[in-house]
Amino acid sequence: MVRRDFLIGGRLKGALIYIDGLADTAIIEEALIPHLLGAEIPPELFARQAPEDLVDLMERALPMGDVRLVKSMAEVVEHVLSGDTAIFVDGHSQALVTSTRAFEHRGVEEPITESVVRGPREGFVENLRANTALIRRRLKTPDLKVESFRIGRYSATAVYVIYLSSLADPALIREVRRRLERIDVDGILESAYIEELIEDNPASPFPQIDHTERPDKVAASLLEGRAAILIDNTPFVLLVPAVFVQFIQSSEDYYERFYLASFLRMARFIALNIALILPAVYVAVSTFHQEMLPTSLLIKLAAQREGVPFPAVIEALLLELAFEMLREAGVRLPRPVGQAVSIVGALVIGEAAVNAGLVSAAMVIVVALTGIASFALPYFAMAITIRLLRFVLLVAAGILGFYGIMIVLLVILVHLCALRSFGVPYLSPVSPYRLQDWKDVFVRAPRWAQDTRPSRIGYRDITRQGKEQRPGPREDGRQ
Amino acid sequence: MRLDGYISARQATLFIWFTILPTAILFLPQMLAKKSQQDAWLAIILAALPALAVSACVYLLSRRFPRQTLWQMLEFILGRPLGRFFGFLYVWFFLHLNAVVVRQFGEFLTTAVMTETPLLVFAVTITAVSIYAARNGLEVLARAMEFIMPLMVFFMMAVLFLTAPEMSGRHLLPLMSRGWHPVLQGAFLAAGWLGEVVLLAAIVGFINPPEGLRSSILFGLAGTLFFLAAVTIGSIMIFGAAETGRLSFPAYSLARQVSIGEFLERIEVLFMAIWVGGVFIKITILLYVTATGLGTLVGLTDYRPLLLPLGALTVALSVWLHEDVTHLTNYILRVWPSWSLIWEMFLPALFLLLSLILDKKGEGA
Repeated sequence: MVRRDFLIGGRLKGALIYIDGLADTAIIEEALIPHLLGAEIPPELFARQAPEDLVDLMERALPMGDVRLVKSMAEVVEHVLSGDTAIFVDGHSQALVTSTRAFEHRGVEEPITESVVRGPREGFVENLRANTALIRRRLKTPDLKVESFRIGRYSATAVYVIYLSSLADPALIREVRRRLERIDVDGILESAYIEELIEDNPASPFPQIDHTERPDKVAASLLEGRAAILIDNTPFVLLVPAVFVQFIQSSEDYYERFYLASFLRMARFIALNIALILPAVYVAVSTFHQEMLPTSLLIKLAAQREGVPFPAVIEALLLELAFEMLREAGVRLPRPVGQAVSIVGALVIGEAAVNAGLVSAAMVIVVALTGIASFALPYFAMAITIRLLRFVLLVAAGILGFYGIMIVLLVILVHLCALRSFGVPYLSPVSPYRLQDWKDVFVRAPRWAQDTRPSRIGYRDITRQGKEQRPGPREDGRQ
Repeated sequence: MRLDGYISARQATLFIWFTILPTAILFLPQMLAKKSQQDAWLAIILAALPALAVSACVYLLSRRFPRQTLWQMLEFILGRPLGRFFGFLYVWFFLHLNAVVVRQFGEFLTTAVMTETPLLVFAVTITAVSIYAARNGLEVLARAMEFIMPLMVFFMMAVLFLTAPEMSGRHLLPLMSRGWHPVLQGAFLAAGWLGEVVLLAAIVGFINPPEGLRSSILFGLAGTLFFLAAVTIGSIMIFGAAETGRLSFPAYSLARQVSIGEFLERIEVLFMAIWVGGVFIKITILLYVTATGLGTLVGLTDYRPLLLPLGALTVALSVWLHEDVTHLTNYILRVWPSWSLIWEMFLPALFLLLSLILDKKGEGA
């Protein structure tokens, strides 16, 4: 902390306090101090020691945009710890605080977790102000409201709730406020801390709050009537409420032609199912229901499995575990090493295990397919959930075949049906069923057909755009 | 007991579908083919009349007692002691019905699919999942229906469509070769099953808006009857009436007939998987209705604590009531239709009549 004493206008005793590294020393040295030293102060001023004198000083001598009068020491401490500079004047119980925040931060870069082929390449950074600016640049309306919170006993992390006041449901905003205000922990270091503390069902394996690094996605969500929660020091923004289908959609769906986007959504949907049940189905078929397979395929599979020392379910569990370990090893290691690990793991071990007769080649194919399918899911959080549930299904299939798979799937279905995210049913709009919202679920309807907002979220102003947005020749036939 | 939640008219349609169809399609085609031979489909169509009568009773009762469950209606109509007496009897009837359903389900799986697994495994697992589902209440159950029903419809349509080339109309002839009697016998049997629509009385108060009930009943019964008749006719047209009567589960055998290009064959395992979902909903409905009914009668604030004991009781009864599948089939053929119609048709009609004579109405009627 730096304390600098000086005489304001050559006669009045004052002091500056700021923290080196958080505050912008260039502004303080080049603008703040010279102006304060050189200020012309009439002698009658400051004789009375009234609060208005500070306001007067502010008006005369401070060239900064953001200056405010602060009344308590706690507030001063908060501001100084955030990078502001406090100005104390002799004989006054109040202080002036001016914004000089300028700490080192990463520049705006392309988000790594959500890269797109087409679409803006900006991603959020760790700086909250830069992030709000990224959103404001996309939605230039006075309806864009920002509410600020400070959460964390020690971290005092700034948290902003951002929404469009004319679209977002006031009940939703109240609920977000209530859940944020309830939080009483020592520190908030990432958006996941908040996420886990405000979820509807904290015991569920499914993510109930969406998160993103992309400002365009936040803007699109706000336009649907959702609320965004920005947290200082993390590039991840939370979006509420979230529904299941969101997690198999990607921002890019809206930037590609709708045929392709719809096709990709269905492909992801199939990938989701493969990632969830393929190994379980394989185990069920090869252990309990061999009659389902065409004879030639059955003979081939049986020939491969000959000599494999484990039952199919153990074989599948071992391979899946090996696959998860390889993935984990590849993620944590530095990138070039990680690639080497994957190659060694996938090619060498897989090949050797099949040759040694420890696992069957078909099982390697199944596990590899499952792995690829789980990578096709755009959200890591959902992909992880699916991966974990896959193990449960695998064990159930090993014990009771298709019946076991079905029992576990029914439990998952009921759980999903019961789940809500900030009051919105997790499986909506599929169930409870709202046909008008299906235009943006499994397919992505063309923009000119997206007339309405999601009816459970943006119902305050359901109409999204003017009528007849579909381009075409003019009515009168002229060009 | 405080119960909240609403189900839409469309979900009420599904409710009717799931109270009848999942087990009816497994067992009825075979039994009907036995009783009425090639005229089984006529029996189903005739059985629509008693089913309509039952649902008309439920509908009229719900008009007189809006936003009330069966148990509340009974107290209104019969007074507190007698109403509660019949209330307990209805709880028993639904519990018994549920035990029969669980048993039927277990018999289906042990006979047709997994012959080496003991029946108890299936009874326990499916009831456990149902307890979990029933804990979440009616709204969640209604949402789960919305996922399983399209699967059932799609699968039945696909099976009927894919086996169509093997069907032959001559199996359906001659029409009524032995007169009306076998058809009426079959209709009586089917009526016991279709009359299960009386379960609607237990949840009729939650339908919002209440005006939707009439179309729910019509569409629900129509859909159920259509698929029941289609599968029965399909089985008879492929296997012939005599053979259908000998098969344990004609619908399952029908699915087994599907064969496309030597690749897509033996899809009956899918039939089993989907039907597990359907029967699961039926068991959950019965469990939910039993628990909420008992909870209302004994004045509990929450029905959830009742689910586990009632579920355990269901499993025990399902194993204990019948010795084997023959015993079960005989019971369904000989005892069940007359026994169930007392509860499904005779008593509701009596209650409706009483409420008309005594001119009793609920609030807001």
